Amino acid sequence: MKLLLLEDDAETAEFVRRGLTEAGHTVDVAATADDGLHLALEGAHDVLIIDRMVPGGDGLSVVRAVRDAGKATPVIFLTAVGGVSDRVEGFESGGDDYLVKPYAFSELLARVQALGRRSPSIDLRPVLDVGDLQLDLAARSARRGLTRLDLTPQEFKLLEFLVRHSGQVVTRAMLLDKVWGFHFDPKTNLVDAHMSRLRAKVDRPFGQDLIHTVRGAGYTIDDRA
Amino acid sequence: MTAPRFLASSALRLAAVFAVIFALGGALMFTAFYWSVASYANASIRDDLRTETRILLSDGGAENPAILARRVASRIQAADALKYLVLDAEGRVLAGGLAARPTVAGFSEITAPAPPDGRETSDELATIEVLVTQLPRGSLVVGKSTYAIHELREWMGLLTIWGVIGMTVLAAIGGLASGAVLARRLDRVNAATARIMQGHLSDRMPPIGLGTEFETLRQNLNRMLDRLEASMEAIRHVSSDIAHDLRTPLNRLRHRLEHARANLTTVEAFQATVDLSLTELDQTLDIFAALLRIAQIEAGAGRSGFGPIDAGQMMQRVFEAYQPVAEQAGHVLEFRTETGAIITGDEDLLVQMVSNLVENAIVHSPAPAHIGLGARIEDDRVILAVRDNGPGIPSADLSKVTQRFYRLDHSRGSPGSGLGLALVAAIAALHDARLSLQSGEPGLVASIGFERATTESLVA
Repeated sequence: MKLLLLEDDAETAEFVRRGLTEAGHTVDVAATADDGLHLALEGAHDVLIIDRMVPGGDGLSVVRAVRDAGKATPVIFLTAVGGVSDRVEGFESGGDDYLVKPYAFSELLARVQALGRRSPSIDLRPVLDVGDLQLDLAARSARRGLTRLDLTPQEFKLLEFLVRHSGQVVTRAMLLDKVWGFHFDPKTNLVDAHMSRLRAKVDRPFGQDLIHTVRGAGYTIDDRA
Repeated sequence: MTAPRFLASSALRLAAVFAVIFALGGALMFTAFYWSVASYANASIRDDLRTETRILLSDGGAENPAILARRVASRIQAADALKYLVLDAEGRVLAGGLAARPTVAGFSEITAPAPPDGRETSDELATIEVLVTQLPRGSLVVGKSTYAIHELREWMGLLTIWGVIGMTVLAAIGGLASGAVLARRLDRVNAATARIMQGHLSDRMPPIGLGTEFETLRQNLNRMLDRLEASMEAIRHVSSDIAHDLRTPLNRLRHRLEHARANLTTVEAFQATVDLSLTELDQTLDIFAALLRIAQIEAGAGRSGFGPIDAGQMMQRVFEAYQPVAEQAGHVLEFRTETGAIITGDEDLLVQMVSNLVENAIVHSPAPAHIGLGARIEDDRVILAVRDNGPGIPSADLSKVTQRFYRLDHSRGSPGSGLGLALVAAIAALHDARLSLQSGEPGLVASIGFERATTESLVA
């Protein structure tokens, strides 16, 4: 993917750029709001990574200008302030995701990939599948092969999120954010507890695992067989 | 007066404003007084003339000039205040005497020399108000000197001028005096402000006096100072907290890295050290984030996001999120709610608050524990409660556990920052909710009481 990184701290920018490049992406880096807006309007980026606080203006104003210019490029905000109102502001100005500094690089990578792969046509399919797992979104029911899975609404929601991002790593923070709407870091292994219940229903009876733990990052669902 | 210049000038301005207002008011009042007295005096003279004429003309006086002349002659002797003139048809004087001979019927004013009886100087003219009545065989003129009215007018004119001057001077003096009093009172307030600015943060405004408005102002200023002092105290507290509780783990981290640099030789050993360091760094950053969040919440951030919340549904969200966690830890998590438990607040923050309490119960209770959470309605309040039958908190510590970094002795070894309950308290305070921690005998009952909102607000 082609990415734009707006980040004024040169060392951070270089570190993030190197990481994203190693993951196979092309990265444009801008250090000021003006440069960032200029690059964002010129280049065809798949995802914009925007620091909230940059010299020459707020990252919010850059994103507003990009949206005003009619560009729907997904945006992830990076910020040192993580208050509730800051997050709401970010979404209201046209941001799609929000990451509070300091963050793990793996978290940023997972979120950027999730945003970049998002495509409206996939979102509209009535039935999602991974391997022999099928999710009927209208009926809120799931099957593996011919066996119907008995899932709670919460479990279905979790599985749906995984399947929508199949082949990608989803982090615990992403799941907390998108599945539970928890914008804080629990002290307990909340995500793991739910995941082990889900695996007990989706994977364990069938011999072939679809849900995999990605060490130090999160989870992924794919048909590796 | 040692008042600063702006206060001195404000006293002056006050005096000038008072003086102008009183001068205008006084002039208006005296002028109105003057006119009403003058016109009353005039009307009363005309009344006298009308009455006198009626008496003279009654009982044949009107028809017979001789009778009229006789009557007038006797009146002249009796009452010298009035003047008379009786003329026959040819215009000859039958009785009385006037310097002029007005002929137009009705009231008019003529000018005559002052009476020659020596009471007045001879060159002074007096005006006389006359009533002329035409008779079948002649005419009657009755007149009265308006000299007294002129005297009265003159006197009232002087009274008006001196009255206005006097009132203006008094008003100016009053304005200066009250301005000076105000200046002196404000001087004390300024002195108190200066003291506070010099760092005497617990000093407060002295009574200003001068009435309830100023007392209200003083109370408001002092309340503001209370809030500011508390905020500064909190900041100082946080600073020392950070100094103590963040430097300790950072110091540990530094030692570990030093040790690794000096002693480790294998890649595996380095990786293990880096992993451990990252974990520890993350914990330190978490503490930092939590402190910032508490500070933000205590500063009142987030109130803008308040809306109506169904507390029962919100508690159910928390229950469904933590039920597997509790089960994995060997506990039983139970949920109970009432419908219609509507409150006003920020759902994100409230979910975090309840989650903190539930996590505390899960982490600090030895398995198997019963943990209950729910929402109930008590009169016009909604109570969110989390209870467990774990070890609880010793009653001596109950009031202190909501302080930042306060940790019970037996939990020092377990993970946690000592900020969880401080965050809970901050979120409750943001919502004007009452947090109460009680011993559940055994265990802990944490309940937070909210004002109950109406169901309509949820629909709206």
